[in-house]
Amino acid sequence: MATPFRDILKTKKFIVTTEVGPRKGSNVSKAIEHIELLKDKVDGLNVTDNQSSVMRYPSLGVCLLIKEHDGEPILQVTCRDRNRLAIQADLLFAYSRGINNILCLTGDSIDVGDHKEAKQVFDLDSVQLIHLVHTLNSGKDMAGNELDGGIDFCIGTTATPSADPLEPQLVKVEKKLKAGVSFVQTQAVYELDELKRFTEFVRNIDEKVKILAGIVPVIGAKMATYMNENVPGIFIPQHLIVELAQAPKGTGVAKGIEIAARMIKQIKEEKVCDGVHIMFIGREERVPEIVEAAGLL
Amino acid sequence: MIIAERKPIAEIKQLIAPYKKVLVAGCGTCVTVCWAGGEKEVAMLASQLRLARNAEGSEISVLETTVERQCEREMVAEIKDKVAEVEAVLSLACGSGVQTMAEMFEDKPVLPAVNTTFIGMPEKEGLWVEMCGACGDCFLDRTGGICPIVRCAKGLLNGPCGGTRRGGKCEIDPEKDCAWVLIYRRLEKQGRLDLMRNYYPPKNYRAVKRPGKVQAVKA
Amino acid sequence: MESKIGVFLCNCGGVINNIDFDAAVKRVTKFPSVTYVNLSSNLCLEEGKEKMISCIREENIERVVVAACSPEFNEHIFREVLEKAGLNGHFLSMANIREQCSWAHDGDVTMKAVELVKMAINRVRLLQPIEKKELPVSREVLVVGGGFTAISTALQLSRVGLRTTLLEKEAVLGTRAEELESFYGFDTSAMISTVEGDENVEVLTSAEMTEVVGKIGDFSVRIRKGEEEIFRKYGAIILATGYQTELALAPEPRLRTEEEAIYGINIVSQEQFCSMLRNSSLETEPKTIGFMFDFSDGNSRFPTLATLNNALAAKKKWGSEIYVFYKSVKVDSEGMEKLYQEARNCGVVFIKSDITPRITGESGRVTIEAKDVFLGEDIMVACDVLVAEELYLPGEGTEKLSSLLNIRVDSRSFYQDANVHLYPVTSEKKGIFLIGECRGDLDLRRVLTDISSVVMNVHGLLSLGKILVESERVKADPQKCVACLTCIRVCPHDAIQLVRVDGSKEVAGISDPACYACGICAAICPAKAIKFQGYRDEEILAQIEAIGESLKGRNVAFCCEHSAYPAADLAGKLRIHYPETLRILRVPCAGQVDVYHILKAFEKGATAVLVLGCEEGACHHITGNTRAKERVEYCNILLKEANVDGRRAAMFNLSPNAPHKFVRVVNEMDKKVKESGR
Repeated sequence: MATPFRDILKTKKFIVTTEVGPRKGSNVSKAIEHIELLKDKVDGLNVTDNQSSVMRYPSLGVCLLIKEHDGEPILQVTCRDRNRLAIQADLLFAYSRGINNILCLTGDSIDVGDHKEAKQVFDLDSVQLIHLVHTLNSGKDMAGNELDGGIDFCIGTTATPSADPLEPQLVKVEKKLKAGVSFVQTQAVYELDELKRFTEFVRNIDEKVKILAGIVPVIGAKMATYMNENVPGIFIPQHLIVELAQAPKGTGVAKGIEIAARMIKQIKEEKVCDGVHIMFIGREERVPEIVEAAGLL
Repeated sequence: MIIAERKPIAEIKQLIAPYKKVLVAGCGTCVTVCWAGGEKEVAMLASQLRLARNAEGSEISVLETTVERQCEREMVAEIKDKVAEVEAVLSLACGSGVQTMAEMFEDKPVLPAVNTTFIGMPEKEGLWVEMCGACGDCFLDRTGGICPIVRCAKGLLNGPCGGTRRGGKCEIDPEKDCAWVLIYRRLEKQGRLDLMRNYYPPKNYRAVKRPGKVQAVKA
Repeated sequence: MESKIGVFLCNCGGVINNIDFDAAVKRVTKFPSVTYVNLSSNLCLEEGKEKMISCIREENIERVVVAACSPEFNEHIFREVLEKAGLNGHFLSMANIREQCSWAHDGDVTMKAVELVKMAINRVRLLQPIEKKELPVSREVLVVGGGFTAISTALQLSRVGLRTTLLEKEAVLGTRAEELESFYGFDTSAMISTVEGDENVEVLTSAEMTEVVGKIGDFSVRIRKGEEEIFRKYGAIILATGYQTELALAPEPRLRTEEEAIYGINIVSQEQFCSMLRNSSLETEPKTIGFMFDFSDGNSRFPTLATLNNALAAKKKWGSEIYVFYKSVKVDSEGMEKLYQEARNCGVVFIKSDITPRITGESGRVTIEAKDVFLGEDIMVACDVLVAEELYLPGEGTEKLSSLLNIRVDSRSFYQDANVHLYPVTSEKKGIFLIGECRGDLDLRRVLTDISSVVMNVHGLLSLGKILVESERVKADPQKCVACLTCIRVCPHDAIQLVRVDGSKEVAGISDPACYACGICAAICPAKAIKFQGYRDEEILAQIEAIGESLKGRNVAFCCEHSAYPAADLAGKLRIHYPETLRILRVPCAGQVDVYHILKAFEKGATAVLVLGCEEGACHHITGNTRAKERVEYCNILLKEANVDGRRAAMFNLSPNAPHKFVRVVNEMDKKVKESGR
């Protein structure tokens, strides 16, 4: 039995989480493989929700699998595909099956995905979702009705420390903190100064919330440039692109892992924040290497 | 202003394919202003259709008219004689106009020649942008006069999302400014950033029960 | 009731010899509404005109077609004839059977001539009268600026009896007086006291315009002077805001340190050098002086003028050694060649270099170094003073004023004149003039010409206190106008504004005195509310319908009256032949041609449609030719969408003196049509 994530959050441990990305299709064998590989190496295992607006096996489904395999799932919920009724209903179900960690997100736009003609829901935004969970936690639904059997979720959310301009983002982060979250998993960071500024901002508002820096290994200079131009909220600095470009052919992935591990080590040593959230979708099997190289095992 | 855009000619040709005598009816209000369906566009479409049919080697008789406002029964009634002469009517008005015409001339197919897109304004010559989502629960007071329901691609009330691109551009459309960055700057100018710091609970999306109805106070 | 149309043909003294006039007259007589046809050999001469007048009167002719030479020549003459005969001068339509018919084609052209007459008849039937009306105008003039140009202008305006306000933003008049006094010997302070004492001139210093509304003859201007707000009305506004200069020296790496070469002491501007020359208590006379110019900014005459003057003056006053580093010496103004020779004869050394010289400073002296193009060697001169190169820029506030007045600036940010040769002192807005250095030219003779020119213009405009304008030549029908604001935004001459009719409704109001009758607004109006008399849709269509039985085999060319129409005339004069199948429609601007007109021409069966306008960047109405190009492209898209056979429209740009290009374009179009087998 894994230690409950919410309990780990109460300690001073350097927290490590990572994510499992469900696939298209009802075949869950790969998901189970990844779960088995990762569940004991991290403190919490996120499951993405129709990530990048591409239709996949639901987050809720994989979280159940994690539970079945004795891991600690963190349910990611976006506001793009479901209205407030559907979300509340899903949360009741999740809780009833022992899933009690949630990451509240707005969600990518429909346009970046593969069902470009679908109707975007966005009945709620991420801040409203956080409030919603608190409401359910208190034993009532959004319409004020009493619940027969409530929930008790540990709530987390995301943030983008490298947004440009930064001020409007920080207004939003403040709203999320004021709404009450126990942990924040950031988007990928590549500059420690940026991360430090962000952490300082957060600490001024909430001293207790755990900040987990987002780590996304970049496996080549081309990928880095592509991400800079196309993936929102990501800014990879020039010197890293150069370092990647100079890596010998075929060693891109290893280089990416090396850089990521280096960064994690630095964050831990300098106590910049409370942990990391490693995102290596499509290469979940390499995550243990990163964790090991970073000296976290 | 309601903004509309002419449908592709291939689609319009398809719509009137079975007919040999049609009336192209423009509207003198919104669609005139946004260059989609005024008297000039009527004349151009009529010309184009005649040329197209000619090129196919078949005949068509195209009548032209413009109603001052196609969403008014009395004004639409004025063209009833012309409608009587034709087999079908191609309306360049917005959906409201098309439906009014269809109601007034129930025996004739009234076909839409434009796509009604949004409520907007001209940003610069020939470019119209969406401004209002007709949500029925206007809260522009809180966002410095910038509507996030339509100008934010995700319609967020507590924005921005984490996807803002460099320079404050939208995640979806790199040419478009992030509405929440605009709201931030506007409120900052007015010294009212506290409005953006407020938490806004979920919107009442049923403020206007569709199909909407507004009963003005009787005079 | 159909109007009685009289057709007057002319064989131009027998010069038109490939038209069978008898046959033509016979055919024309049969056209509907034609009640009188006459052939003359000298319509434009007194005899011919007198005859026309009596014919019109006797035969009760109501509308007139003149089939003769090009309207570019004699349209105004025939309009006068109509007026004298008691008809409105606009009940006239001309058929160009000489330059664009008889002279343009080989062999018998009777059929084309008859078609051209028919086109003119169809058009004249629909023409509406245009009345002239008198508009009162303010006789007051606003001159913005405080230097020599502005002051001289104000004084001259006063002499011709016009009251002027001289508006200067600095506290005193007399900007850049040093140079003027040095170079031309002007007594600036005398000028200033004259103008300040002139009873017709109001001098406002430390004052700026903050708002301008209205049109020519009636500008309402708001002026801020300190705390005060002053409101005035002016008939015309003249900008004489001058120029400014900036040292063109690049920063590092040319200078080693800032201390080693000190601006203002070792390195000076021309104006500062002038002061040095006039300073009787100068500490030490510089023994070696360097000048440099024409490296960064090859566009103006000022640096040459200033350098030559200052070099000569310094040589004469101090006998110093003088070295002038230059890229090229431009002596294309009056007196410059002489000045240059004098300088050389006095011993001023001129060093030609292709690349900007290197400047370094050391122990209080400035060293300038460059490779002499003729010697092929590096020359290095250590100077006591370097008169550095200056950038010649528009006066401060030019940008602000240009947006306040809504007038254009050119690529160097000086005010853009309407045409450097023909309309040098006018902007694209009637009533707003630009003179002198602020339009980017410096040369005393040109400045003086500008001043005389503008005084003449403004006097001619305002002296009577009223102007005669055509009334409602172009008008937005208030019933049809939806106030979409398109025409207001698009008018290149800022002649349209929102006006209230019937006390409430806002519609577009085209100002008669400010309008240039280009037709761009009429073409773009989405409600077809704007009526441009003489070029309304029906008037254009009527001409197109008159061409041939169904326009088959005819190519239609819309020719702008500033470019292609005179080019076509010139082709005729030079007897450069082109296919007889071309039918030309004269338009005031390519921008007046709309997609609608082109589609209609194709609908009626034209095999090709050409739109011909001025060269890019040279449109008299600024955006007319670009709009025409975009519309032609869009029209071709519509034709393609409609799967119309290969027929397409094409747009070409040309100058009025390019008859060969005109003919080439027409020939190529004709060839394409023939090859496609239409």
